[in-house]
Amino acid sequence: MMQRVGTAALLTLVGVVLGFMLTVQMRTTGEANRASVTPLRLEEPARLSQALSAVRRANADLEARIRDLQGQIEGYEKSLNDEMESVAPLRKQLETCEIISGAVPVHGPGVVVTIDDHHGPVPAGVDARYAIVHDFDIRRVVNELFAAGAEAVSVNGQRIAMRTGVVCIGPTIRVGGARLVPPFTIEAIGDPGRLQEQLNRPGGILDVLRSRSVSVTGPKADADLHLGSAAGAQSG
Amino acid sequence: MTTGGSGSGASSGRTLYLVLFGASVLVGFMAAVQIATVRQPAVSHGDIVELRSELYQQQAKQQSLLKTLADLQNQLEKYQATSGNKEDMARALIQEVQEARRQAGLEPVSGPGIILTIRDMGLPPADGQDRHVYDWMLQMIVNLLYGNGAEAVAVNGQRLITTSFIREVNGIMQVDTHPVSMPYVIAAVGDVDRMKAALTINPIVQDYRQIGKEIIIEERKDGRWVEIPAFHDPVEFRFAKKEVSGGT
Repeated sequence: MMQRVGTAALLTLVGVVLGFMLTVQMRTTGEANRASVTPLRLEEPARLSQALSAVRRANADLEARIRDLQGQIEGYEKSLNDEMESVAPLRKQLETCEIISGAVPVHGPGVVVTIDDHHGPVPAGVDARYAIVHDFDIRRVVNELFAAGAEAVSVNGQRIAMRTGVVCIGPTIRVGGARLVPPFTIEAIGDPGRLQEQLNRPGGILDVLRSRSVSVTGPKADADLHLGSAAGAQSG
Repeated sequence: MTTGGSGSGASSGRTLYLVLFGASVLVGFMAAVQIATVRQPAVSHGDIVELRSELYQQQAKQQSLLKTLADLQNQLEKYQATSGNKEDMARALIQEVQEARRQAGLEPVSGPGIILTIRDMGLPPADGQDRHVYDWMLQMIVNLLYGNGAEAVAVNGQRLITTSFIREVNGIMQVDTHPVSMPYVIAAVGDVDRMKAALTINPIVQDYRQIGKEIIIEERKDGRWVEIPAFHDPVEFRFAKKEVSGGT
């Protein structure tokens, strides 16, 4: 009896393995045939992912080297600062310019506002096309923030610099070089009271967005926001 | 692998084995299909487009990082060349400030670009049609240019920088608090072909035409360049502080 059970178990195992191998074999052959017809379609995602991670790694290395060089340059400036009085205003000007161009990361108090596409059925009388966030909506919020004295602004972590365009590409929005998807979190450094007041102005951009059923959260004051440098901004 | 039984006992045993074997093959088949299905990455055409676009962006970022790196190396070499001479170091700092001012838009710039004029077509008045050019319509043009290769832009002679804004106050169009009025002249230095292509395909030009405004684009490629003035207003930051980097 024990032997019969053993044989049955062995046969079961052999059967499972055989079936598995046969199937894998069939699939592999099938794929090879298809691959010979359109090799690119199947290989491209892998090839692209590889190239992408290689470029990402290289960029991370470059960013590290840039930080190192910035540190060394700053060292020279500081040593100069200690000995020459006339240097202080120059360094102050340098910092202001670097903040304007987005070349350096910044921190300070400010506000955070999040805007998102309307989810679920659109209320009667609202055009569904306007219940989603468009490129110009983001641009208008950013414009309002600067008008209220914002000193630095970022959208989903992408710092806005002079040359940053905000452009729709299908369902995503390109901010500078980055493609972003909703929700859009806009952070602005500046006088929190003034920024909130400007955004909450009756008939202002947030009112317009809410009337279109776009979801708006905030603006909420924050004591210390940290904004990264602008990708592609050149350091002085 | 001997079966001890005989007669009908052995025959029913063999049938059992056969059934068992068949079922096992089937189980193995199903397991293989299952694994293959689960592990097969869902690669759609959209994913490939996404990957290509991401790759393109990372490559573009790399270009600008390399440029930044070269600029910084250049600057560092200037400091190193002073070998501690304070006056030479001060000169190097002044050069650095000059470059930073240029990057920020505080210095004039000239180069190939376009000059875009928005003017009234002089159509007879239409009943009830709102033909006003709103601030956001100007913002859209500027944004479109920046998103498509513009490096420096001025509206009616007012240079735009990062913190610039265009808005109407009591019906008067302002660029950073400087009043401007029709016709609007937007000068942009940058990639002429890209800017022109973007303006051609974007519906904004049609939107302007519908309210009786025409957009005239003059391109300047060789020789006669677009001149853009510096940003002149005082800039002083009270809230934003440069992040002290962990760098040495």
